[in-house]
Amino acid sequence: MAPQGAILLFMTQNHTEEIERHYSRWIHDTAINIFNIVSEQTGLPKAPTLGSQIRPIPVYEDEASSLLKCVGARRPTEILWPAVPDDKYVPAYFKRYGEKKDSRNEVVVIAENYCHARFFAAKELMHCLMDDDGFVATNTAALANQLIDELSAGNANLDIKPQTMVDQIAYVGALVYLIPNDWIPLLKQMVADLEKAGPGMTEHAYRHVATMIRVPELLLRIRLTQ
Amino acid sequence: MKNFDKWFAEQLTSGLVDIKFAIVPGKGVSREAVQDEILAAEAAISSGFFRSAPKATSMNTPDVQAILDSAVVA
Repeated sequence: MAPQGAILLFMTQNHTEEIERHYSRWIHDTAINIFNIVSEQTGLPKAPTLGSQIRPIPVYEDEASSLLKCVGARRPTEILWPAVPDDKYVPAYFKRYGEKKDSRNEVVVIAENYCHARFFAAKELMHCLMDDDGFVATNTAALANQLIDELSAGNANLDIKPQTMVDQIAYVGALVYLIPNDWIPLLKQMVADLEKAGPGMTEHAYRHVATMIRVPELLLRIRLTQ
Repeated sequence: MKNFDKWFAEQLTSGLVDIKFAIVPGKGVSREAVQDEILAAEAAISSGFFRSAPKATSMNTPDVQAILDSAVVA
């Protein structure tokens, strides 16, 4: 590679890492801030110490506050639940229409399982919170197809575009919102208590805790063991 | 079914400025399969075919719930 090419690649990589750091930090802080608002308005504890204090954190459920209500307070947002039979590859997607103050969001959720629907709705609602001046927007058919290709490839392709990186970072926001940092010690204790309780409890400890807070079991495992 | 690029062009005309997807990678996934699912959902939306938001259908048994409720951290 020519020196100029190497320098350009280095600068591009650094720039991408910088963008990724920025959005990671931002989504993490935003998810915590929204959880704090929902916590204050619903009576959910920010740092629970007793198992009986916790219940699922509202995403779209009709409660005093929810992620959907917080997002909607910033910009008109609705979740649509189309009656389609198949959620094989696309459990949800997000669309924004209109510019700046006049814009509105649509989140389409296809996932039928309650825990999955909550998680994917939360992930797409994270996009509703992003004001990015179009830098990471997917606003042409070519970009949409590229995004589909990169997301379909999973993590195999490390040279992803900013639009794809932001899409993946939204998962982090959903995880932090649904399983807040300050809930983790208690959730770990719940798993430990079930594992000590013997047959019937031990094998499905994560599943039982996931059922209690209504998140996908696999994601709870990742969050508690990462 | 409508072509994805044609649908996307119509959405741009309607003011679409951004779109993002949750895609589950795995065996059989392809650009066409993903596009077909999106177009099917959009066709349902356009036709007014909606379902209720999912609700909880399972619960922990009382003995499991008792253990969960009594967990304590300092």
